[in-house]
Amino acid sequence: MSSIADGTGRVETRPASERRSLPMTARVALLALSAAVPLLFAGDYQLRFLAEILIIGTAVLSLDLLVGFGGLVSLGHAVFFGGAAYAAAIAAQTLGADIVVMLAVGIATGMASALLMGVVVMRTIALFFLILSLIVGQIVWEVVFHWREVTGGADGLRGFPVLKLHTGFATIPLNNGVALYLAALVLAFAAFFTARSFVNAPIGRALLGTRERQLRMSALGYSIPRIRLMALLASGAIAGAAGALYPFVNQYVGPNAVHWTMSAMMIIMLVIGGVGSLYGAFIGSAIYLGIQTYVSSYTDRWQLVVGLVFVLTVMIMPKGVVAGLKAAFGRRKDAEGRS
Amino acid sequence: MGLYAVQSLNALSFSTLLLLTGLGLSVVLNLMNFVNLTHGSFFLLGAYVGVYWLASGAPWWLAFPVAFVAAGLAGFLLERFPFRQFYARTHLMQVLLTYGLSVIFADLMRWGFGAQILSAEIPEALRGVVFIMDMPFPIYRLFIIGFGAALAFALWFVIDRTIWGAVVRACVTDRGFVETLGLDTRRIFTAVLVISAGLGGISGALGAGILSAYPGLDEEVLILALIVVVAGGLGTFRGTVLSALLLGFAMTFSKVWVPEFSNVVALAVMAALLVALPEGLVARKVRQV
Amino acid sequence: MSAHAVPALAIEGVAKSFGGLKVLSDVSVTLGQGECLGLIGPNGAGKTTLFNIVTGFLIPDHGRVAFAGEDITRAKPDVRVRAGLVRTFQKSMAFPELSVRENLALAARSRAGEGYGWFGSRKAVAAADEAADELLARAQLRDRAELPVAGLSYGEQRIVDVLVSLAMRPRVLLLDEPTAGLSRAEGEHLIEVVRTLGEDLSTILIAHDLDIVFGVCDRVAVLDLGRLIACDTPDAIKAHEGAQAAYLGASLGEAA
Repeated sequence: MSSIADGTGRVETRPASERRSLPMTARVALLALSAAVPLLFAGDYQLRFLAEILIIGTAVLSLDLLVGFGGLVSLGHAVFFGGAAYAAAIAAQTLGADIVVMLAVGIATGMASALLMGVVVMRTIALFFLILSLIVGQIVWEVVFHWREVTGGADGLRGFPVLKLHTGFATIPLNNGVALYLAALVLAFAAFFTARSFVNAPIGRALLGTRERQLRMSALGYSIPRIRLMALLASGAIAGAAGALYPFVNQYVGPNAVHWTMSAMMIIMLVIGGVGSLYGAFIGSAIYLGIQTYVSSYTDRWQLVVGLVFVLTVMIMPKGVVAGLKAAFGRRKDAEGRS
Repeated sequence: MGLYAVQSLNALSFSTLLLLTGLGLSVVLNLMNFVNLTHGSFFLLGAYVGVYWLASGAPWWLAFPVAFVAAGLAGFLLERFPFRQFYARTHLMQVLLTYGLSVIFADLMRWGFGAQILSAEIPEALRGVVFIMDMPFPIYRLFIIGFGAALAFALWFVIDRTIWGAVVRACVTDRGFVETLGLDTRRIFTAVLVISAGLGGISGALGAGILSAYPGLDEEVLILALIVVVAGGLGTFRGTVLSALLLGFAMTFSKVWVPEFSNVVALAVMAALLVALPEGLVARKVRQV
Repeated sequence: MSAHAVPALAIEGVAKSFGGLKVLSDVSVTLGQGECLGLIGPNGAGKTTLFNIVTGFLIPDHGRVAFAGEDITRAKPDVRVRAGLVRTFQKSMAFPELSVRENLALAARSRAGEGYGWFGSRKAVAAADEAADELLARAQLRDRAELPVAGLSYGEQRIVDVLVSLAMRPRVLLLDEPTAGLSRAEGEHLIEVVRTLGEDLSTILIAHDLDIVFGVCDRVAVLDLGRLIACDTPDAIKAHEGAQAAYLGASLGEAA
């Protein structure tokens, strides 16, 4: 289809010949190039930081499926992400930290928590959904915070094995910046294409339909709970995969990862980067974490800066920073949201 | 037996605070269709004002009107910009805007008032305990119950029983129509928001005596207020009262019975409520098709 | 229509109140196979409420609704739709930001059971989309296929609404004032679309244009203040005094 709704529901239909963005091969090349640059120039610490941006960006990507396409604003997304992080770290203590195993554990946990969330929120909408997802998220946080024997309580978990890759003949440790960065990159790409395939599939179009016209979708014979559950499961799986890698960036996971402020942070990232664009998730993650890391070295007031950027984005550039800048510089936005 | 009586009063005092804060949120939501997540910030501002005023030696009872004015002023400024531009926007946009603003205010208050916990000096007249069935109970908490209930009742009375309340309620249904009656609805909305903010501030000052003031209190209070409003059903006064009571009692008694997982239990109760009644305790009836 | 044939739709003793307001009292109507039943009555008579009950957006206080013999009184709306009971709404319920084709595709895919696919059969989805395209072609709207529905004229939007319903391959189609706001010619064209493109279809039509109703429907039911006053052939209704009084306050023969 040549017309695809951007996240805000407005469609731009222009024939392919008129679009002025770069052809696909050039864009892929550009992307590959920019992905390779850090490998050449960045140090271990910076590569880990980039890995964190990509990992959290992936979690935000999964949130975009819910918010941008399903209209389901959730303040409980940290459960999918942080829950998987804890599951992976805990599983690593007994199963070892093979990356494939960790991803499997993460995805399974993410989907299980998505199922739980789905059952609970199935009949609610809008503001109720927001608060109920918040409540569920906080229940999980309280459990994590108080269950010291398993989760380490307020101190979090340390001392679990480092990430490895078991090939047929050798075990490659992945506990350095380069390896983590590459793993995160692969994760990000895989997640992006998975999400995009979901959005373009019939289920994705149906999800878009439920965003504002639930009555109409019912009248067309769709079961809204079923559509939402599938979206939650897909979102939970992607967030879970991202969560599985998260503890291994700094060999630590703490209760912050499941707190509602983590969910709120992801929403902020999503809005800054651009709701409904899919790739905006990574942009938002980069901007937020960039401000947090670099601004905080100059002043304590980094949260003030983030808040200002966020509020400005909401007020002036509701489609996100990238779209806003493009509009400001006169280029028309490519409504397909593909990189 | 005395333990239950005292804990019930404890719960009641907490519920009163929840009710007042929840009412501030719900009034703006119902009368202006505006979700205001800076309400926690008004509460915290009021709490800081209360703490400083009570420590300053000035007449203690003035702390509350001053907190009302301070928060009301903040509300007034915010209403002019940027709230006013967002009344017509979707709830989501309002949530995003007001949440972002609350992040800004939280940091500004952390900057201005510091990061430590500041406890309020309870005024001489309200110190000490009374004995309920041989168990001691702080007089200040009785003061919260009394003053808070009176405030809530006054608010209800104005909204439900006076012409001012009727005008505001009419604005929700049909703003244009009210304008044709020659009334400036912009001023009405400003007044509602100022009162709501003031209410948040006075709740903060009232609560400072038992909760103190510290960064992060705004978020904690906001979440509880949101839960109260949503679980109450967004529709009526009655719903907010019921859910404030439910949450207050759930939190207080779960602390007594399961101290480690008290919050889990209380939150689970509210979640179960919303699952069983997806539209809250007292649902609005709206025509769908 | 033989006396033993199962009616396409049977409404028995349906009643509904909202608080103190009684919107429907003891309404009983049957719709025969292949029949076109008109449903008329003044505004506020309860026609749309009856549709809401039949399609599952409301549960009646009393009575039952049977679809091809099966009791569906408490079934969810999407279940009824998949069984073949479809309706249009007074407001256009198409997705304005999506194109005409996408709107029809959503309906066709749902009908084909391909609405939830992700990695599923591409052929099945393509087949569903093709069925939607065919419908477009037969309605002579192919040149409009890619336009967002919001960009169409009101008359075309209403036709798209009807096409979306037809893409669901309904056995019973409830049309809630499909011709409201349309010119006489547009209204007749819309009815024509339903008649020619609907296969094996029984319909209930709510409309205020009595010439269309009496011209097209096999029987006409008259609702007033929640009660069924009469249900008979158009000629019989025209002569029915109660119907005249309730609806027009004048003889139906004089109606414009």
